[in-house]
Amino acid sequence: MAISIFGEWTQGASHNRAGIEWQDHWRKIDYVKGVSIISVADGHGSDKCPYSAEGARLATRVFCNLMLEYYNSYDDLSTLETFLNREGDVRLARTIDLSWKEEVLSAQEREGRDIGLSEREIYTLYGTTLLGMMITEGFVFSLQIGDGDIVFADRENTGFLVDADRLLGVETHSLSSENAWKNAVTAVMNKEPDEGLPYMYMLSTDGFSNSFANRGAFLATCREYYEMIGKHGVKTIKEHLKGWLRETSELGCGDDITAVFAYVS
Amino acid sequence: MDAFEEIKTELKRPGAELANRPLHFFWVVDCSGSMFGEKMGTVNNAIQETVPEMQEAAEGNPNAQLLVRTLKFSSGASWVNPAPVKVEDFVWEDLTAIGVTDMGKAFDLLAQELTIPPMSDRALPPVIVLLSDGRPTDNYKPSLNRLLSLPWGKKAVRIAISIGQDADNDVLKEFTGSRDLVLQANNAAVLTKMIKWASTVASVVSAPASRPDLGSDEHEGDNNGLLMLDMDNIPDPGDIEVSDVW
Repeated sequence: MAISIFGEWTQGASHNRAGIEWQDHWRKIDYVKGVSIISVADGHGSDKCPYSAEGARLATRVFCNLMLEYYNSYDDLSTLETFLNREGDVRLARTIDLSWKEEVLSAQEREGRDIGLSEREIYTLYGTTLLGMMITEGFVFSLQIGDGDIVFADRENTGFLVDADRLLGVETHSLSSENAWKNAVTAVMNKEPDEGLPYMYMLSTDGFSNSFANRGAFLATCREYYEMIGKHGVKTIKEHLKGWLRETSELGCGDDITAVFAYVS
Repeated sequence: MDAFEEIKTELKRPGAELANRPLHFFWVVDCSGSMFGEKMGTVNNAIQETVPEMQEAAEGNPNAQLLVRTLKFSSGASWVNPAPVKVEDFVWEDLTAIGVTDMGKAFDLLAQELTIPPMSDRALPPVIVLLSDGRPTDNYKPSLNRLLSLPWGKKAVRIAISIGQDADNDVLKEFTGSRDLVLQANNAAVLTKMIKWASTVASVVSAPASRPDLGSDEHEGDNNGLLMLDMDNIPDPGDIEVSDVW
């Protein structure tokens, strides 16, 4: 079994026109000692969130570091799975929420920015969503705070791993909200790594799915990515990915797009 | 050309057809008898003049599909354009003034169109511009409450243009959720400016950044317009020299 994790991003076509910088960030810990970790964050990018690119960077770092810590602190994988099943959207999500906010306050102090603001106002400056995934040899854990998509595809099925609460328009749940952890949605899927090869996980910011007419069209697209990776190989798809995402943003919703794939074969 | 380059050239982007996001823009116009004459004429001229400007602004943003519609109300309410019209195909049809002010009936028709479906959940926040010079003659309240209880009713950018001194600004404020989004127009020159400003809101809403959800408590009496628009850009009636006042 081999896991290839790769991703790309593109600056949104409408953001380009408006001179707004890319606000997404993604990070991965490649397969080591039986675990891979991926996180993707989408900084809000509005005037009220001028440091959201940094907020996104901090969010991906917090998720990857914390998940690795959890993984290393459990001798028994099934105990970790039980914990994530029971406490993923409570204790773990709360720890992520608090850790991100600590990191934001440290960054704010370090940079000496906007003195005199309340903590809540500071968090808003760094507002971001968070998608995260931990792939182990017995299960896959997914977490989502805010918009974006986490998708699974194999030979037979394509579907969302996390059924997140979707807000209308341009609003999203955010790590910057008070008690952001209460908006976390998590899922644990039992999965033996060698079972049903090849299969694919994908984490993407909302600019990707918003570029299609509906959820069905987006899932059909994910399926085609899965099939094309199988047909042409990871290297070729990786070479094309940035151009495809750029085209998707230009002809779709115009938002930044980040998409990260974990292809297991 | 080596083998890899050959593959690279042939590979097309995977996936379904791409789609920009719809943005619904509603002109909701009071056509009661009190609008007869200069008021109605100014509304007709001003909106007609904004059409090419809206078309040009929309051309610059291919990632949103601006769809425009007009709803008129007087004795009853009806759609001038029953279906959404792409801004590039939109033609303003002059309205005439006669009858009473059944604003509640207009809210009922709006509510039908802001329900999902026919509205899409991936649309951009709709923009509703309500123009009125009087107070509702029907029981508008339940209809307005129904409109504002809809997910898209809440999220819409709601602007009111209050025409003349007899307009009921309290009702218009109930509609917008904020006094700041009730624009006062007491003469033809100011009304023209306010209509032109309102028409530019579509281009602001069509290229938005994400925004954290503030939670239901903070949304009380709120309007997306306050969060998305630069309120400093609203024309100041005091800057416009006029002699006649409605």
